[in-house]
Amino acid sequence: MIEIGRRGRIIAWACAIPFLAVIFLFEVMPLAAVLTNSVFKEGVPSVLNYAEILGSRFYLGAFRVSFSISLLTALIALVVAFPIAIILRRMPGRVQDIILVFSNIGTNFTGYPLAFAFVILMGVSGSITLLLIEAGLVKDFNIYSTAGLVFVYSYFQILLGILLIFPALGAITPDIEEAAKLMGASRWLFWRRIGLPILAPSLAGALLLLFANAMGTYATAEALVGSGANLVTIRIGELTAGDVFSDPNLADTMATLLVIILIIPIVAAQFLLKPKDSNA
Amino acid sequence: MSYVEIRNLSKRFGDTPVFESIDLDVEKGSICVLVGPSGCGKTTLLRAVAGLAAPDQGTITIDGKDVTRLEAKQRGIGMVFQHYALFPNMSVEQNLAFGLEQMKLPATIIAKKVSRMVDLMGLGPRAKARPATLSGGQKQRVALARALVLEPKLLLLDEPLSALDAQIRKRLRDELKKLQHEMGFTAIFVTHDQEEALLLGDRIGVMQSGRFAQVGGPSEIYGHPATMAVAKFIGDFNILDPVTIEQVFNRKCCLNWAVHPQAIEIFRPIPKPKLSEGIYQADVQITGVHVLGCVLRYMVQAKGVALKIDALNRPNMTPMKKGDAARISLSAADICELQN
Repeated sequence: MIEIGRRGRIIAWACAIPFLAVIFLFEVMPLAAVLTNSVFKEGVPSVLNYAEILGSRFYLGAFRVSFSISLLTALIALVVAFPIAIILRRMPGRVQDIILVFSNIGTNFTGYPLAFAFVILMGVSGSITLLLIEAGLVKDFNIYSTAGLVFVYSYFQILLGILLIFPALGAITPDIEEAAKLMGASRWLFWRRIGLPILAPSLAGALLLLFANAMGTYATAEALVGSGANLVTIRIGELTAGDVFSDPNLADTMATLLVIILIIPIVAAQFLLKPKDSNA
Repeated sequence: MSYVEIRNLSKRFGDTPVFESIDLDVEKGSICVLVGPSGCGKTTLLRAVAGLAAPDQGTITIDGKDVTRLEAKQRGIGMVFQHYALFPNMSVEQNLAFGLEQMKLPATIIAKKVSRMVDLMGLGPRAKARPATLSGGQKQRVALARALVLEPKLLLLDEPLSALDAQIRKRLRDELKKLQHEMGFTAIFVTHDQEEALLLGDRIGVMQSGRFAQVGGPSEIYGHPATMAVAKFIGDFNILDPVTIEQVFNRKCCLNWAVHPQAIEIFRPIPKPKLSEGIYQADVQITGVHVLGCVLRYMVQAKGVALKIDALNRPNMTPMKKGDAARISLSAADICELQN
């Protein structure tokens, strides 16, 4: 840590004020508001919102579908992105840069533009769908479904996975691989005994981020299937802005439960993946 | 036949030759040091011996067996890397046991070998520690122990001390030499540090642009550099070309001279210097005096030519000062004539 004097500390804090203000205004305040509103029902403090959600098959179903899609696409992304990132590590720097830039653009290409692109390509009359039907490879393909959502989510999840895993692979230096090779370890044994254990915390962190990313996705799903998909974010959107079912307090309760669902694995991972270093 | 024989070994990266027509012999129980500037091909040569880089032509024989086309793991080689290459997810003991486990040895034998090596390397108190909690010196000791516990036919060390600070580096260098005497292993050691090369090497190969400029014992390399490049890299020679030699010592010759700073005597000028056969003398002006511990380094100008001269720094002597006039004397026997 850099040693700084009292004056330096004051200046450092002063410089951090705009950042801290943003954190407070756009993270702490909204979270506090969501938490507070979640325990109010029609202006009266109550836990009825929680009881309503936890007692409703419809809302619990939204959590189940969101959880399933998020977990599935996070796992797909991890499984697909991991070998891609390994191959990418072995490529020349220029190729790495191009693929990483492409991944970065792709990761941020979400919401309505992404949904529109998939509709054109893989919708009922999409060019790829028609080509596949023409070739006799599929009979029909419905992108406006849960399976379709998994497909579209996987697109940006895999690219995000590459961006998350690629830097972590820096921990596996070529000389570690060579040392293991000289000692008689096969490639498979190297990854099982050395590579994967080294990367486990990073992979778990990437899985959590991918899961959180999918859980929080709203615009892509809304654009593709509208309210037809029973997802937490779609339900929150309906309860916040819907004309018929508007209930902001219930939306806040769902948001709170969403935050809890995301916090639990993060805290668990912190405990489970804490390095078991010994100073003995 | 030598224990390790490298014959006509060449390697290119595309159109660029890394090393060409390399011949090298390493005797059993000795350390051969490959020394040379960065990019001279010494590390790639070591990697070719290890089986981590395939040579384009030539053969590598270890203990009578041609290993040129064998996989790295089948060569019976232990390697110590510059940046340790320890497995960060394993403790010191687990790092040491890993290679033995691949040999499918019984657990009791693995435990015994690991424990003996841990004790030998003084790693006992840190045996359960992860690499991240070790100091640089401890990490390199673990890396060495991990290679030695496998009792390799040949130990390769790729600049193992260059990432360490000067004091630890010196200590580990001495420990390595002692360990080699005790265990008698055969090693090829790569470094760009000439002091390390001279201290550790039973035999030294000085590499320049992918070729050996000179191969020999430390005394031979230090005392009689074969070429200008070796003289410039090893030792701290005064290099004099024929024009300079004539200018300073009034001698005609056609080869360059390499003269060690300690081979030149310096003394206060005397009225009538006695000249004898094979002794060359010149008047000089002292331009600087540096105390290098037990040695005094005089920087002098002899008829416009800068020379450096080392004299023993005796406790009660009065050194000459900057600006003093002095006389230098050089014996012909101390001159190395360079081929180019």
